[in-house]
Amino acid sequence: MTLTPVRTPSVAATTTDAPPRRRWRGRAALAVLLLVVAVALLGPLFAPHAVTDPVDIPYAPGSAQAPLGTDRLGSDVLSRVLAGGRSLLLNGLAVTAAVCALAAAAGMTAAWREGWTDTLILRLADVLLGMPAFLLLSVVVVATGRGPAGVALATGLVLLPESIRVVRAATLRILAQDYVEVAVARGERTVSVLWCEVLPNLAPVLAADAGVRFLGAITVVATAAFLGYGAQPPSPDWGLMVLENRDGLTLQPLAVLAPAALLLVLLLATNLLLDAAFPGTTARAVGRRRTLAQAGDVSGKSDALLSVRGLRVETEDGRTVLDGVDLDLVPGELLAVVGESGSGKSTLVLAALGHVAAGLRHTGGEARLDGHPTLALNERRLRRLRASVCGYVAQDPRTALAPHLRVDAQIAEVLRARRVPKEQWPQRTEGALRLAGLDRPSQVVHRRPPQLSGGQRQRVALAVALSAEPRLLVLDEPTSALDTVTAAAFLTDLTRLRRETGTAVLLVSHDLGAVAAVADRVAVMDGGRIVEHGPAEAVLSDVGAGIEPLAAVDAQKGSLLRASDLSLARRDEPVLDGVSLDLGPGDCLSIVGPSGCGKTTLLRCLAGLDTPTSGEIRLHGEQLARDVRDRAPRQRRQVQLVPQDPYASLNPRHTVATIVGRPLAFRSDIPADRQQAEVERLLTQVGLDADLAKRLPGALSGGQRQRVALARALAANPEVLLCDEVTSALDPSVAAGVVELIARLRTELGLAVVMVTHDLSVAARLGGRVAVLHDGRIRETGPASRVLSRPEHHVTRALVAAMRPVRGPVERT
Amino acid sequence: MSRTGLMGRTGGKRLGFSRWWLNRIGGALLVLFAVSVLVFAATEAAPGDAATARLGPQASADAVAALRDRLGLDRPAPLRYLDWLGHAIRGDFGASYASGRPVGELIADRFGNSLVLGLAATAVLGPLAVGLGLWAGLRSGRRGDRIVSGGALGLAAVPEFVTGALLMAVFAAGLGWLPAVSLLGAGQGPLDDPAVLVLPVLTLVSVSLAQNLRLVRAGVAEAARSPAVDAARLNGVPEHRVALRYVLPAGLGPAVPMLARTVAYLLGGALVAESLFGYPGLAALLVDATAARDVPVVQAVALLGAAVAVAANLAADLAVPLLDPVQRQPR
Repeated sequence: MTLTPVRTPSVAATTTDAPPRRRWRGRAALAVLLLVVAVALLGPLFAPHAVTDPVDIPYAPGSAQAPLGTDRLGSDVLSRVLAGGRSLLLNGLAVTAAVCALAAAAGMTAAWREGWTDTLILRLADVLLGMPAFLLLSVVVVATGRGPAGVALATGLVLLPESIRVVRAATLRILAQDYVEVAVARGERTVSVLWCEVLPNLAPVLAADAGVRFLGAITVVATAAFLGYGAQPPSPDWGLMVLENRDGLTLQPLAVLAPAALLLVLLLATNLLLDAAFPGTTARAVGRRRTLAQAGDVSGKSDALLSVRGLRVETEDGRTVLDGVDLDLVPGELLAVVGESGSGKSTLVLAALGHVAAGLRHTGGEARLDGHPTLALNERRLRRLRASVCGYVAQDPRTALAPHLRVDAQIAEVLRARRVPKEQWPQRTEGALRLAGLDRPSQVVHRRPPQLSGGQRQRVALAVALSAEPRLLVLDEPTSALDTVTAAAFLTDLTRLRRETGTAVLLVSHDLGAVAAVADRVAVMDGGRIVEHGPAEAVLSDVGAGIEPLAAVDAQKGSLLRASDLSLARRDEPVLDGVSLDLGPGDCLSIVGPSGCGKTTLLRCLAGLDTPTSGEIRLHGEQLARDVRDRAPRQRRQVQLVPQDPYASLNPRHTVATIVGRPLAFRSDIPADRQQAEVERLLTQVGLDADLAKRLPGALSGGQRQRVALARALAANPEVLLCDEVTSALDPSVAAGVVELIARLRTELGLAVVMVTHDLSVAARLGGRVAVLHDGRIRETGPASRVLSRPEHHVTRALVAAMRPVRGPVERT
Repeated sequence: MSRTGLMGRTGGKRLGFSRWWLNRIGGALLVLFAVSVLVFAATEAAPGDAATARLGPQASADAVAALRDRLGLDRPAPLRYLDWLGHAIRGDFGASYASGRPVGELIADRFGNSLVLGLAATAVLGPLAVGLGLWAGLRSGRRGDRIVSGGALGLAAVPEFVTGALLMAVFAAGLGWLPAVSLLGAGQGPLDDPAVLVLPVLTLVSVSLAQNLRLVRAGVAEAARSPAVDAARLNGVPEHRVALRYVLPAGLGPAVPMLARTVAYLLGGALVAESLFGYPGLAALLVDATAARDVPVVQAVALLGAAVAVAANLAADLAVPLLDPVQRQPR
């Protein structure tokens, strides 16, 4: 349940401006589009002849009188072309407007109401989609008779279902965001949730969709005219002109080509403009060619397995990512590269293997793997070098394995690359899986990754890397996606593995404490440089320093929030099984446990976002409704939730002032004219600069976002703060600051805090009581200091053993 | 990992895979049934009925009434619908108002011709869309990709009849290499003179290639960015194996529904291309029947086209989980 979103600062995100090429193309397309639209709308005024007057013989070529020649009836093609676009354009616009309005209403309704409303709307859309567009067109035209009205109706029916689906899907995506849940939990009405939280985020989707539908509307309306369903002769119409003059194509091609060309230009310009305005539809362009300025000389083979000298990497726009890094790794050694996210550690390791990620450039220095300059080799030789020397395990076991390939197939690809004879494959596969700590290889070998647990996937990824018997094993954040117990077991396995194979290991981690125990040497990175480097013990000087609680132990007070015997089953499996807890004013309760133990579900039950199957929750002795929507406004205000992921819990389209200010509207004690001052006070209270009020969440760091989320919760003036893994998405130093803030708020404001975490050191810092949850039951509870020093249940002991010995940030030089 | 909460979208029971198949097939039949209601209701809304259509505008009121009585047209609409559906299922769509010939006879040959055209276009389109999409997706952002994607972007915007007219102007009227009109002698099929297929197939492919190619390309580019692909490369797996084994299956998934809809379109309703080139398929028949409000013909062709479309979409629905085991457990 503890999904730890790992967010490396994306390079693409720093260059949000459209590239000049696209901007230029967009402007050109807009100019052309405006020109065609002007021709279509104003053209009839400039037509030199009446559209039905014969000016020459039929299919006459261009002349002074008729520059584009005449059509099958001898009428002037130029005049007819000038007159033939207006109705097409106006009909197209009308249909687009109607379709978009209907689709927005239907799509949002379907997503919000769910249930049978959703099913009904989707089924109706399915029926319309069940018929190919032009068959539907024909059927409708039979009913209405030929003419523009029938065509407009049919076009709407053709375009509507797809549009509804787009809006519905986008709405669902937005509704699943934490900020919508928070809004519902604080008691916003349906209308204001849809209007304030959903619609601003839906607007870009609607705009892009309107563009696409306009394109479709013009295409269908013009095609209907070409089929003879729309405008009838003798009225001029671009589509109809192609149909009428088709037979004279050899004699007078302009009569067909002129209207066709105008349609072509209109639609192409619209399409290009759409592409320029909504680049999301096409993938962003990223270069990945590296400079080969310094072709490495092949001489000077050192005994280092991996050797990096003066390595420099920059982003495309010139920001330094690696700033002259030196690094050596000898055979058999385990080197840990440690640093916070953005320090360049992953970039360093990948570049050492010859891989420079999209958006980055190698600008200096070199890396040698087994004596070969990896950054100067061509792709084919590089692959062969990697296959023979190294094995790589990617960061997140959920994405590190191709989901569609069975475990044995994934291993087979590596063995094939290593040119291992085919008859050895089964035996090598089994050996690698065993080596990676999977005791029963036959159980996993025919499965695909989605059928395996997180820990199993991590071991399979390790087995893939090990199968070729590499001399160098590269592990990118091998433990960050695992819960503490699984991570500790993994590191133990790693030690055994080195003993058995003698392979060298290069390990990347943000967690010095976790890796220090297994590493021979540690290199600490910060800002693209190695700032500290040496044997593990030297770097890790303050291991074992005790953690002092930030707040005094609770004095037991009366019951503020009491839950008794909460149970919740999902698909007949119990997630919570008779959980009870009691919290007094100003108390702090940390709920800890491995992932999947039910701790987040428990918190969501308290918040009223998940509905327990049985049990009751009382606030101030009054029973709380299970569903937050049935709770009284006062009760909702008193219990506030801070969600796990600060990247999803703030509405990206609202300023900080709006986000923090919204709960104030529910408070009678804050008049409207004092709201701004109150927002500033709240921001200061959570340690933020009041100037941030004008910013959007996108301009804030993870730690700042989490503080904004806290300020929003405080704005409701709550008595209970429910915190869901609020530190897990943050770097250690930032996380420590947030924990400190929560402890301070608790003592200053007398807030009761329920903190869900998988990290015991957070519980230790907060003080108060700890409840250990496992398989939906509370296994152990007591004061934090006692539980940590004398754990009784075996799950607690595992959690304590896995606890990170270092809490603070890595010391900087 | 699943959170079924207030907004929980994971609601619903975990169905067995076979139950899920049955659900899908049932859903497809339901859609087809609804389409038949829609078709019947739409044609019902057209003014006049079989009696006036058959006897013409000059017929006396008595004669019309007599025929109406004989055909049972005075019965309530639901009854007539059931009657019509019962016959339609057995392939009996009645007689054309225009020619008086049985509709089944009218459409039999033309349906075959339409299928030949649709299959020919599919055979060209599929490999082209997948091949070019894979090639461009793996070069995401580089020149080759920009050319292919830009070209697709352009083609995607052009209506079929415009592309077709341009092709006709160049290759038939201008260069004279190919016939402008797909005329076939009596008793001839398109395979007797494959030259007539070239321009219609080119038109259909150029129109439907773009969106399919773009989807395959987008899926491939997305899949190529996945850590699993990077991991395979860093483990030394050669690029052609990465492309075929890691990237393509994952990248194809999102494009399959679109491919299916394209095939449905090519097989069930290549109305515009057929009509432009005068190809003797169902389309010309439908366009004429629509203009003349020849209800039985419109009903038959529309129902047939919808059946082909629903079948193709169903095939895609069933194929996606086979390609992408992540979706195999329907949530």
